[in-house]
Amino acid sequence: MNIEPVVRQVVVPCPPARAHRLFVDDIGTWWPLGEHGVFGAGGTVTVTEGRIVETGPDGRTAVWGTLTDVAEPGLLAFTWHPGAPPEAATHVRVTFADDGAGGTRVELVHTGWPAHRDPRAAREAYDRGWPGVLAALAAAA
Amino acid sequence: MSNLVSAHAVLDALGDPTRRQIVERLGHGPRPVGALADALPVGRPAVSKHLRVLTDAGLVRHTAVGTRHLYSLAPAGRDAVQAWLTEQWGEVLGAFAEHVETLEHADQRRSP
Repeated sequence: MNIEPVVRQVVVPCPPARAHRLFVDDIGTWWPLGEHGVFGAGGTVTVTEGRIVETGPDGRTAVWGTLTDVAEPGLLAFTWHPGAPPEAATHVRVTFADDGAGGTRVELVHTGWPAHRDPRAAREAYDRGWPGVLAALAAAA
Repeated sequence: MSNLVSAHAVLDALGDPTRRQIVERLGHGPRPVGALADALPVGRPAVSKHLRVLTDAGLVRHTAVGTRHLYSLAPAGRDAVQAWLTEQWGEVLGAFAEHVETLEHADQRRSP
């Protein structure tokens, strides 16, 4: 009944401390907002005061999540609820490890979808966005 | 059937906010088209069109009960979404890697 953790890795050609910094500080530059944003292309996303916030082209904002654990250079963890309220949050954990060849292995693990849910609470919480879609499909499986 | 569900079809199907809302509504149980249209800011023909896309993507199935057509979430949708999610994070990390590579190459050009 549960959605398995999603694990993805990529190797980037810089040391972990720099990779960690670029991931956070440059998120507005590299994140593919057109394909993976709440408001589409033309806006921006920043990590501000411990939250990941997207600002759409028309000035509307959406909080994607809240940082829960930041340990430079190795770790960045945050709750994840783009387009949905915090009650619908899942969890993303990104680690940055030296690959021994001057680069960094970046691993992302996405977990925390509910195996069971209360339909009434879900109706309140999962109005829009991916967590709701995932929860609905997890419950159907 | 679940193995035949294409991650790309799912990606396209869930790329639309109205279709995501339909999936979530169906998460509360099977619904006829009319009930879905009543709960959404789009008309019944549009909902029917969206349902067809979702059905083709393997996320939704429909059953006929007498003369009533009920739509519900397909169990295979869970696998499809897992595939979609994996693809999403692959694209996001790929974009990050591309950004770092661009910066590193620029640095190398500046200090040969």
